[in-house]
Amino acid sequence: MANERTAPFPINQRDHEPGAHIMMRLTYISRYNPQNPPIELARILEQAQNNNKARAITGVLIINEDFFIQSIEGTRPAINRLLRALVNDKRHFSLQIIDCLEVVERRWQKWSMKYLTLSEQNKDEVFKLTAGTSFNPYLMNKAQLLMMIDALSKRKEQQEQGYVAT
Amino acid sequence: MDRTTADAHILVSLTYVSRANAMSTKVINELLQHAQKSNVNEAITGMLIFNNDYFLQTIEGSRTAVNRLLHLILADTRHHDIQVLDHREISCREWGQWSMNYATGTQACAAIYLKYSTTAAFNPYLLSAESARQLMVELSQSQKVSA
Repeated sequence: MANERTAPFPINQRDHEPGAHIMMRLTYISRYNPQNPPIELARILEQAQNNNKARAITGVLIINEDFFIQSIEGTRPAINRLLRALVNDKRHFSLQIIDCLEVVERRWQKWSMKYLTLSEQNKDEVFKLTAGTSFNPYLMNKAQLLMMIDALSKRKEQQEQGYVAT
Repeated sequence: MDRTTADAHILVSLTYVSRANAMSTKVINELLQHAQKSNVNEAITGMLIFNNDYFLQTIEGSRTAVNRLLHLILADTRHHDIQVLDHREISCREWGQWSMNYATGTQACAAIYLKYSTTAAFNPYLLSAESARQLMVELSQSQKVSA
């Protein structure tokens, strides 16, 4: 089929911006705006998946009723354009960058935006990385947050492959 | 004002580049003085290199304070096209002695720009995070020697 021969990420002018040869991974946390309508979560995810695909951005998004934790990767200009939009997005607030580094390869190349949840099933993995009694990413350092994202992502993949009961 | 918050134990460093909007020397001096004053209050330290076209800046401090400042930097209309080059947790400050050290990106330092980039002009958009860091260290040292 003709469609299948299309490059996964269209080549465009932005590939020639200064810094476009540098790949970055940005991880941030933010607080979920409680005034968002209940359907907003699905809309955020769908928008992210559509927009990111066109910009060669890949990543994971963790949401619960209080927080966002997101790790995204792409060219330095693309990640920064997204960062500026995220900072102005009223659906969350108090955005804090946890880590933003040059990387040589992607970690989330399979997903334009993988959605992970914090639920009863994975509360042990989260508690392992929590010093206090309640989960609060603002109290966690980079190593703890990245380990948590990895653990949740691994678990989700296993679930999808049918190794773990959901 | 005591800005201590729950995550004030995490020390980070943020480096960004931006394009300067047209600014008089007077405005730049005011900007520097204001930055130095408010950074002292927030326990932020750092280094700024600028010329008529570009800014390259590193700020260090608690994760909360640095991110609060980043929000202000992103909203500041005196520059545009802000790109974060690097944001990482650090075990000690590189610019601990300065609330905001600075150097101007003049032609006199062409040899240093050439050493760390593909051109002899000061264009921080072409720098990797590591080159930017080393360039700032060397510019700061060369300034000290000539002062």
